[in-house]
Amino acid sequence: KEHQVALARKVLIERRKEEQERQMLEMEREEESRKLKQQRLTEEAEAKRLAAESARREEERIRRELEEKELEKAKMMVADMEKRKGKKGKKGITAEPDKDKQQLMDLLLSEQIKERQEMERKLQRLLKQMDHLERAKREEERPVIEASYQQ
Amino acid sequence: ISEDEEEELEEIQTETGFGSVIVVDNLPVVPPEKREKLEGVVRKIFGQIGGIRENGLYMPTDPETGKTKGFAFIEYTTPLEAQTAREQTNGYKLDKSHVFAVQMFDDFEKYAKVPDEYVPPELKEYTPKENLYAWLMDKRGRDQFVIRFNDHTEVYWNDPRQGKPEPVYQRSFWTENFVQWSPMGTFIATNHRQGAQIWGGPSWERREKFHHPQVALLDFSPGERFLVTYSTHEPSNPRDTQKVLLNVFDIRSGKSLRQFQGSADDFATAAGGSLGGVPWPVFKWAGGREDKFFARLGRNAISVYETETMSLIDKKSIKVDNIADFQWSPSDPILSMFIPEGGGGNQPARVTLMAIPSKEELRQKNLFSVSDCKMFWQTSGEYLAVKVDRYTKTKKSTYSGFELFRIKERDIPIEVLELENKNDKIIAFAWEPKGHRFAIVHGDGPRPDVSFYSMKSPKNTGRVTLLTTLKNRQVNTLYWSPQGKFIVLAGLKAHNGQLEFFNVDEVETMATAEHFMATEVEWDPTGRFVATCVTSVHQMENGFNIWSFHGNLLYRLPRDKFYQFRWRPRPPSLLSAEKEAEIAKNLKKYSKKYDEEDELITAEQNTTLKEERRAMIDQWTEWKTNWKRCNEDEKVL
Amino acid sequence: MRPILLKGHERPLTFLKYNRDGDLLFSCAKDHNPNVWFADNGERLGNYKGHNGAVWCCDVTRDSRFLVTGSADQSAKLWDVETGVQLYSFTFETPARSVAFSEGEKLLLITTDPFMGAPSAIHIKRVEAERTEQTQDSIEIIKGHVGRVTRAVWGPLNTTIISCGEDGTIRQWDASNGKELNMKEAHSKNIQTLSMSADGSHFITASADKSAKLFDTRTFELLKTYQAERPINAAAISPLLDHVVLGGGQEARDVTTTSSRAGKFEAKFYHKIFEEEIGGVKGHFGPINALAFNPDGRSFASGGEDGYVRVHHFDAEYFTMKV
Repeated sequence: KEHQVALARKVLIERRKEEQERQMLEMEREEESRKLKQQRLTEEAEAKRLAAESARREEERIRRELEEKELEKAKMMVADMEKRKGKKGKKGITAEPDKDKQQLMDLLLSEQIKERQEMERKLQRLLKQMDHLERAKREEERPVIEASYQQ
Repeated sequence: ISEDEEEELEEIQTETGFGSVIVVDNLPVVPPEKREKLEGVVRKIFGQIGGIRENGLYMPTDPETGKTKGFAFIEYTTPLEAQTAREQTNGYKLDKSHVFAVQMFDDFEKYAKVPDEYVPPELKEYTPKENLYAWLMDKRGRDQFVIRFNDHTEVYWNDPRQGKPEPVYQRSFWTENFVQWSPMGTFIATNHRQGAQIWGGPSWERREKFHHPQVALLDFSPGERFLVTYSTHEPSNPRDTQKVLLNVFDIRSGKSLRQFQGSADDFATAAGGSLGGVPWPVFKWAGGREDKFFARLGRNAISVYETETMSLIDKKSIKVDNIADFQWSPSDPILSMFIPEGGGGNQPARVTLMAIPSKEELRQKNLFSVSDCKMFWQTSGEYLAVKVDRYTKTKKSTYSGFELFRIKERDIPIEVLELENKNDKIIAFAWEPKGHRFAIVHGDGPRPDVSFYSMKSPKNTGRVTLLTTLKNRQVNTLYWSPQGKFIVLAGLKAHNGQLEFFNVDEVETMATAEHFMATEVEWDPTGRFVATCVTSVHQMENGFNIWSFHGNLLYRLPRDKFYQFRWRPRPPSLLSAEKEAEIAKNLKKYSKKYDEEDELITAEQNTTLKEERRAMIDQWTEWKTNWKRCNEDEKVL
Repeated sequence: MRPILLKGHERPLTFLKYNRDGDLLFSCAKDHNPNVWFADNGERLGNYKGHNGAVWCCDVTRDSRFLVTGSADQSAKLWDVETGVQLYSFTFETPARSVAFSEGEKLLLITTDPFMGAPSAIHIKRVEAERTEQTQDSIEIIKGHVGRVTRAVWGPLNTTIISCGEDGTIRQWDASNGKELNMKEAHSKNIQTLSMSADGSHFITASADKSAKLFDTRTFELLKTYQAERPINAAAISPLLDHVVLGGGQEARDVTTTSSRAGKFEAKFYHKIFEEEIGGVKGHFGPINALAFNPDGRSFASGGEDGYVRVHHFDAEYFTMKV
């Protein structure tokens, strides 16, 4: 009977061992797949990073080009403005070649504002002049009209 | 219905049906054997002018002697032919002793009704009339405008200094359909079922009535001496076309000096903006303040009338085969005419200038493969621009160019102007008033270009010169300031009311703006202000805006069901050129005074505003305290 | 002033309501789910799911615990603000248009639209402290307004109810017995809504006749008139400055829409006492249907036909602005 118990026990131990081995194996497999997955993820992330990097660089390049173009444009506009001013016989500001885009744009903007204000002042003067001329004429005409009615 | 109108509720004119019948008097009296011969002669004379109806010639005979009675009735197919016949044959000398006296049968009846006894006219009490020109003497040199919205008609002073207009006169149900200023602003005309009326003076009293039932349109002569009224009437026979009736009134007496009637077909012509088939104005007035001539386009003829006699000059129309359109010079009695190709292409199209009343041909230009022409006179009559649309070689499309006439120069030289891009459509053309420049909107896309030209050139070679071209503009209409120099480039309709205020002298845009959905733009008569409005053609956003000449928005007035905005025109100044120059020279002196005046007004306005606001705040505070006390009392309860 | 754009509705906005503390903003729209947002940053806290029709109006208790909503699905519902759980549903024969808690929140008024012969009505319900005891019973049903009642609110001290309607009238009712105390033909066209001042002394009406008017809540004395150029759908009175804000615009289908016109629907500010326009805030792509001031007066919200809510925090200049 004891033998039977020992046998049973042995079988049990055997089974446990098997079970343990199986579990070990499974864990190893899991570990393996986890590692693989991890690797894949890092690879993917790296690829993404690289793609993003190159896109960023591309973007940067385009931006730089655009900026350069804008700078050119700004310079042209400044030159244009100078020319215009020159034509009107006013003292112009000299565009320094080392000015960066922002400075140029600021310069342009302030010039434009100044120009607009100047034009507004000029037109207001003109409006007043037109208004006063019309009123003066009518003032002088008034007695003439009155006289022609009295007749 | 006002009392005024009730008093005018007269029976509507009945159709006698004899509008096409004339009575010819002073015919020879002949025995029966000669009757047929006389009939033949009469038929020949009167048949040339128009179609005589079957059995339309009736010569009564004396039953005792068998002789003719010396007069005849002739019935034409249309009233217009009858009228033409009356005009052309009245006074016709058959021989020494027989000078025709021709009348409209209807008129004949009228005279027959005149009572034999003389009844002295009722003496009306004389009331001194108000000064019609008082509005020209506004102390602050302002201008008036009229607006019509809903059932209201309102006249205002334009007062940008106050930021709003100042009411002058307001009246509801003043007019049936429209109001119209006379060309120099002296009167405002209204239309009513019984006729037209004109009003004026400081209290806007009625100055005259013009009896014309169902009057639909009005047109003043430029010198304000005459008023032309127009109406159409359903024909008695539904198969016939609409009947048309026109009156030429003397403004001072209110009397109809001439009446024209006929079918709408008689008055319809190929050219001109048509209103139910009839171009308006039917009669175009010759330029100048004298109001000497007016003319109408007919089939193969222009009928030019002289106001002195109210009849055709030389008693006949000017025969011009195939004529399609004509325009008067705005300053001189000169007609420009456009005659399209004729004789199956054997005769080229041509533009002809003719002096009136001499009918002398001043200039003629032949034009080939022309599809259409439009004539534009410069306001002082110095130049005439003719836009010529020509077929391309394939005849599949057309392209446009201009023929520019220098009227005041010897032999009237003509110059040809072609656009750089031949495919460009001409969208708008406008002369600078009193100036030498013109503007053209041209292009074939949604954003056309605007070009400015001058008839003068730097070296005075007498060549037209391109001044500048503005590219890609949302523009389809041009509005020059009446003083020239400034122009509003407007993008109406499809462009939703885009506005560009442009200074042509400086070649510079003064401002760009938008009046959403604007339908109309109108400069004030002095060129200081511009009005833009959205009329009831749109359901929403109705009302108007007032801008300075350089595009500053001064004030707005929204009004639902907005129908009309019209600046009151002004007559030409009574001051001499020398006086005007003197004023301009001493402007500083005036300027000082006006600045002071304006400052005073502004200061006054500020004080009033402050006082008003203080009162409003006081009132509010008082109300609030009161309310709080009430609330506390109620809480206790 | 940079607006915060609240995107959470798929249909036109109908009503906006700040809670007493001004930290929450409730929005109702023609889609069926009212939303609640953080008022300062526009973050959405949640929504209230359960209605089966457009939601026209809402009100929130002083402690911000309970929300009431009125809907075209012929019901008005009570909600737990925090959990979004529906606590109770009042049902009617016709759509519920306007809802309002009384001062103290013991009573609730709900207006219903006229429909199929049934007239419009103002129902007064008792709000039970214990939700389980809540019933459908009305204490009072006030009938007598011609046409639809567009908005009804409690008068001072809960003694009266003030209503406005599509017949262009404002009416004052005795809250205890439903008798009409006062009636005034305030506008020539529909009154779209009315809105109380913070202290309850005056209210503003918004009308399709292109004007808004300020009335004394007791006497109905006309205090001020604000003339606009377009039909007005919404109006609100600033609790801080003497300003009122009006919103509206032509129905989108009536306006000839163009690209240059987009985003031009404007909330217009008027000086309350001087009746003068003092500024405008553009941005909506359709007419403005709802407006509300934050109780602190430092921001306001607008809701548009375009389905957006825009929250604007005023700049420093707004508070120092000279008229």
